[in-house]
Amino acid sequence: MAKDLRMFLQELRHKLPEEIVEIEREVDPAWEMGAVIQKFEEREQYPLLIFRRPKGNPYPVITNIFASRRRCAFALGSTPEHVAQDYWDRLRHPIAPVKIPAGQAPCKEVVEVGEQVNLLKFPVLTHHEWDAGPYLTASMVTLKWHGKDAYNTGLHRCWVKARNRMGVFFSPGKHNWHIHKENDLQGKKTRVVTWFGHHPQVYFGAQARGPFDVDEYSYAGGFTGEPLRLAPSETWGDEFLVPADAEIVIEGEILPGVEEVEAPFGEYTRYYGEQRYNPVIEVTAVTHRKDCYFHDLYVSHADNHIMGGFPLEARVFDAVRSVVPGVKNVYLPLAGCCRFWCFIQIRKRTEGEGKLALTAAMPADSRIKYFVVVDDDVNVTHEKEVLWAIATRTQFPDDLFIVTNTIGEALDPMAEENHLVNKMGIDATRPMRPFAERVAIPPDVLERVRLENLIPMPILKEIPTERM
Amino acid sequence: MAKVFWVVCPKCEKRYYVNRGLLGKDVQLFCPFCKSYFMSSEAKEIIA
Repeated sequence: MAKDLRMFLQELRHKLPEEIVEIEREVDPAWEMGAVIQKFEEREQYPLLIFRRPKGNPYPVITNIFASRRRCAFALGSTPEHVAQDYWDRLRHPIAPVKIPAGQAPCKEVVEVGEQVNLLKFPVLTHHEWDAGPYLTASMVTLKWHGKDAYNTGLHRCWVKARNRMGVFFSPGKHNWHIHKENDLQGKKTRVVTWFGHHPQVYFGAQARGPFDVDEYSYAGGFTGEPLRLAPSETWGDEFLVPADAEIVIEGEILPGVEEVEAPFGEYTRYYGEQRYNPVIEVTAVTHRKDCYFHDLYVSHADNHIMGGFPLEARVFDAVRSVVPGVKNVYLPLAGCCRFWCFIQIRKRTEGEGKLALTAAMPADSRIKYFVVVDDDVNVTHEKEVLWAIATRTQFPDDLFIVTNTIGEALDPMAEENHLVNKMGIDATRPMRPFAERVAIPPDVLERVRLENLIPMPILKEIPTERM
Repeated sequence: MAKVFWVVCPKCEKRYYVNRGLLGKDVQLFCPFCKSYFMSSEAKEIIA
């Protein structure tokens, strides 16, 4: 059996059943599902959520799949501490996809073309108060490179505007933006396939950013360890293949020279992105499984942050490893939406390696603004530890440097119109000279002393926790 | 946020923001609150 969303759910139910919460009562896709996610986040809980009865709709909604670092690492076949290394290793071993007949593709159990198309039949979520309308957000948008048998995939939001019409936003400079722009300049239509609801490994691979012209369906295969199964599209047949094991596939075309008003939309930055003019997809066909899950990625929340942070961690890890072989880990915390802050852990061998790591990391991805390098005795996945290292192992301005007016992220609310931002690097590693040693309880004592052996469990459970 | 300007919807009078590149152009806008389209020249107020 090919890997798909259902296989992942089965595995999760078997090995980590506590990670799934199914809600049987009716919940409105407009904001109410988001309220449920936010209430969980306030409790510091991030379960995968299945809403069995979206208001007015027969298709269950699955969301928050990627909201937990532990669950994402499980999906990847990794551990929370080794995501960066493992992600990069998978990326280096792509596997070419295979084509299967349309009749064998689960995503084609229901086929609707032309006048039959009705996107409004799905429980598309409205995520935040200012959003222009219901948006597809787990939508992997696939375009084809010019003159090549290679596909580019990227996660792009799509505003469902009507039965057969969607607005789409391609962030300037991204590969899909380039493909569409070239078509647009030549007055050509752009063929678009939007698919969602697949195994998380497929998502991790498909959203990896490779060089131009590289087939990103192959990256998906590299992450699953098997060729991604593709089937002919309804609109273009063998000329444009679609992921056969997705839950839902939407085919369409972007007309050249046509742009319509789009957004505001709650972005990953936790701010609303401004209204602007963007391309429009005229939908030609929709295919799906009979009992399809509608997969949503809850933007602006952990679901969106953690998933998008993994590839950045991998890119920084690889960039730093090329000059500092003692790099141990890279972590992008939720505090920076898993984009803006980057913590790098190294085993420092010589003076200057901290700054060397920073200079290597900075060009790895334009979205990251602030970089901190710490030693390997600092838990890089705990912001408190990193802040402690900054407080006790730096002397500014010596351990700080700033690069002004460099290319940043278009969605950064502080970026100027041309996307220019200032970036900062902090070397919070200990100096190599004789330096203070951090306090510690002897490890064998820590191992020996167990609270549950000293304090009755009912009392232990009742002691309040406190976030400080 | 230098990249945006604010508009006030002529129908519901709620305000939101628009990409600054559209400032000074008479373009169709969409109010996310009352779901109505209007021309930017019809906005009750523009705050740049």
